[in-house]
Amino acid sequence: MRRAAAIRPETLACDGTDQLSDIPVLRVEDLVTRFGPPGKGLIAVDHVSFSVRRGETLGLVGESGSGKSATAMSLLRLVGRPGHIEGGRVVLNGVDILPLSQDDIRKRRGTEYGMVFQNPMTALNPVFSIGWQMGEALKAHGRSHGREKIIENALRDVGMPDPHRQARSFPHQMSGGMRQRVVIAMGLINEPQLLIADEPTTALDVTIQAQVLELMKNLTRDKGAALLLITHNMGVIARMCDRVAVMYAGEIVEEAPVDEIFENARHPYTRGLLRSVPDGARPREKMPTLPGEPPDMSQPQTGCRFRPRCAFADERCATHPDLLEIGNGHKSRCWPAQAGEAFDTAGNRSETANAV
Amino acid sequence: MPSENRPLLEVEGVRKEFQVESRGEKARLRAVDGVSLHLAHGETLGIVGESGCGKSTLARMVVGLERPTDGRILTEGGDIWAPGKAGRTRRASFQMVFQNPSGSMNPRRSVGASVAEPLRARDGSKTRQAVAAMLERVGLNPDFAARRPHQLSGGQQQRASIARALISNPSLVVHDESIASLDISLQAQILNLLLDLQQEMGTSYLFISHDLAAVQMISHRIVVMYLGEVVEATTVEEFSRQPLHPYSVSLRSATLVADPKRERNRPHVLLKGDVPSPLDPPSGCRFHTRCPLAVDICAREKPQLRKIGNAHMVACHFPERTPTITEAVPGPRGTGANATETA
Repeated sequence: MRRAAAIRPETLACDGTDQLSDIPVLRVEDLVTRFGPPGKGLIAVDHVSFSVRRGETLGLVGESGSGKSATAMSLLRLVGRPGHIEGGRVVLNGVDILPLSQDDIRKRRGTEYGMVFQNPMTALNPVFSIGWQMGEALKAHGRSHGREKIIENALRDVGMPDPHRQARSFPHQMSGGMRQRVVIAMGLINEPQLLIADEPTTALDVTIQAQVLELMKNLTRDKGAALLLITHNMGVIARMCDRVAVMYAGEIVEEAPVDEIFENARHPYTRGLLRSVPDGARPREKMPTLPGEPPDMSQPQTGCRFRPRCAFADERCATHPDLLEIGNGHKSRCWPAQAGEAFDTAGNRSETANAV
Repeated sequence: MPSENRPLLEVEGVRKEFQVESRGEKARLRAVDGVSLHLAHGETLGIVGESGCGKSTLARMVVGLERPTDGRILTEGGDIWAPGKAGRTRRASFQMVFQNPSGSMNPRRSVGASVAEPLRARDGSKTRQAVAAMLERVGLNPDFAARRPHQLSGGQQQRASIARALISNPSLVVHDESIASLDISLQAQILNLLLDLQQEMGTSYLFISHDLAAVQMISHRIVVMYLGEVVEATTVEEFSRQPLHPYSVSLRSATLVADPKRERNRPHVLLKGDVPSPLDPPSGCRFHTRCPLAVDICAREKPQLRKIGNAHMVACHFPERTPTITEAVPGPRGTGANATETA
């Protein structure tokens, strides 16, 4: 197996309490999550592996159904029935959390990792004040001293005006942007080493999105927390991330540092995705698009899953490719890319079809 | 009869008030407050703004789903609320595509029946061939007519909604966030489809979205709304060169570019606070509470929408100062200076 490296230096150092900054806070290995009975149903997360280091922001990007949210839920051990984690390892600060009991997990949620969900209205309980709800998060971790002060500071940290008064207000009395700040403050109140944010700004207006992203960037920078940012928005990725992993049909198809992804994408899906972002600078010009739609995941997949939509597919692609290193920190799950072939944008195998 | 050379759509000083209850007291919410705009045959007008700016209410008034509290909506010079058949016919010449494709089709009827509905409402004639042809035109297999909406993917459902809107050959289709619920690769497909269909059929679009990049891609002209008012209106080319309202500039600055190097290097205008409540809009210029350039007069006096340069309307006391708060993206340095000259 080429996938498994022989030596993992970070596992050797993991017994010490002092962790070096290049030791991943989170390391995910061959994570498999299935919805439905074993052997049936659909595999939403298919052998996904990645890691996030201290102070680093990893973007997990993909379209709906690509498995990015299912990955986040699996990391949190929050996959609900009929979904279940079928295999792999999720190593958080050196401990595989998949075999742990729910009690153990609950202790780690909040302090070791925090979560920011997409919809701030459903992430908050409508019948309790936000101060009360934030207090619950503290109580769960036995932090009862000076709770009020901690809550006010946490709200101040996320740029909430008048935190003393706001702690007494209820979710419905706040705007969407304010609510999302509360959710972020709650995700961070126990100072987790890893923050998992699933589409944290999708429900927000762009000027508010700019504020919230700025806030998350500062918080990861100042507190050295790792951030796993899940989004479908390429602009958010460009603004926020150090590294990017692209998901398609349950798998990571490409992973690279952020500049590399945008300048030298080496998977036809990533390239198509990037081309599909509308550019205001070229009004009323048709955009190059990705023809077709993602595969139906309830059907068994053979070969490269992107093959039916790919302009570069050939007979090799009938065999399922692995995610392999093709350059410095750059991995691609594509036979032509692994063979070092150029993705020629000219000619009749053009990838820049204006398909409608 | 209305003359041919009148604009397809004229919106004249339209206002819409809703009676709402706020903390036990009745209040009047002005969702749209004195909006005027026009749209020519075969043209696309993009309306951009954030939630609560009144863009959806405006869309609903244009297609006749809401009646304006004040002001008039004309098509080729005729009021769409004229009594009797005249008004009804005018309202029927507009169609709408909604945001959520699965929610805008009857789940218990076949896609074909839903698509045929506008034709059936007009006359009872044979619709089967028309539906098949229209489905093909929007890139769907005509066999889909027999399916139920849930058997189609989100992108296919939105294509079917577009087919339904276009089947009665309307002069104007209003898109209210019609691509917002789609994935990016599908958004690009639909935007291309709309451009193609417009070229083939000459339909006008009123394209309403919070996504500035998408609006800039599809529109000829662009209108920026804030708290129920138009703050800027101009051509897309002029807008991408230099927006002149501080809000438009912040909107453009907040619209992230899918290019990490450009994203790191361009300065960002970070607005303070949230959009104020439309129940209690700020005095003077409604944007003054968040505007980085606001001075005393902005809180006192409401700036009128006035013409600056060629075909550029802006409602700001100091549009010549606007370029100072921004980056000149993506053009070369000096575009800011040009904009000052037009003032």
